[in-house]
Amino acid sequence: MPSGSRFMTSDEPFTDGQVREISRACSSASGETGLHFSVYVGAAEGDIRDHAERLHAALGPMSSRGVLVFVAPGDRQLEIVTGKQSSHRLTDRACALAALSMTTAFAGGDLVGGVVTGLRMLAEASGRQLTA
Amino acid sequence: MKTRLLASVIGAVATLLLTAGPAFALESGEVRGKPLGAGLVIVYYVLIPVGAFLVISFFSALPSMLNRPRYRPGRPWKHDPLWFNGPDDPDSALAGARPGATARGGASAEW
Repeated sequence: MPSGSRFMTSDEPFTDGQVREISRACSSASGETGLHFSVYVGAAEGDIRDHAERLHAALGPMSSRGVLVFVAPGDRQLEIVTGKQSSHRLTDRACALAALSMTTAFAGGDLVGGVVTGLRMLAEASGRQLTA
Repeated sequence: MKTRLLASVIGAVATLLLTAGPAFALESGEVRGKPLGAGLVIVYYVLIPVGAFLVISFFSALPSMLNRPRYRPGRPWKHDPLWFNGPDDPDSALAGARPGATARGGASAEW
């Protein structure tokens, strides 16, 4: 699966380096924990929670251990969605803590830094990959 | 009486010459020569300062021209969505996805 694949074309909000940075943060968080971390940056269509849950469901077979981070910079909203397995590893409280840290960075205009820090916090909170 | 008259005449002339003399003298650093032509005046006093201004403004604007527009909270986000580590074919994956089918938890926040 190509990480950091462009959902659509044209007008890029991030530099190539920033795209790589977020992709790397996604894959290292996923690799460390065995969960599937995915980040969506875009406008929310309708209710952000519904949209985020729809995106989470679109992860398909990955959705059970998927963690979707939805960042809507235009609406200044953030949503983290966990699946069946990932919610056991990642409590809502841990998600809220990561969300707080991310929104603090976003409010300062640092989108990439906030996403990377948030992913790192989520990965640390969910711990190492559970065996068996 | 005659000497007094002579002395006062000499004194008056000397005073006149001494006070008027500096007016004919060169300013310090002044060099007599051909005056600048109109073209050179424009080059020295208009084109070169304007050029220097443009060069300095170009270099001061250069960093922001090279960087992407930075995200500013409150401004509208007019970029296409980006999905990192998402499905291979987002459109078809989203077509069959319904909210709440897989979600179990998470968190919400605003800034």
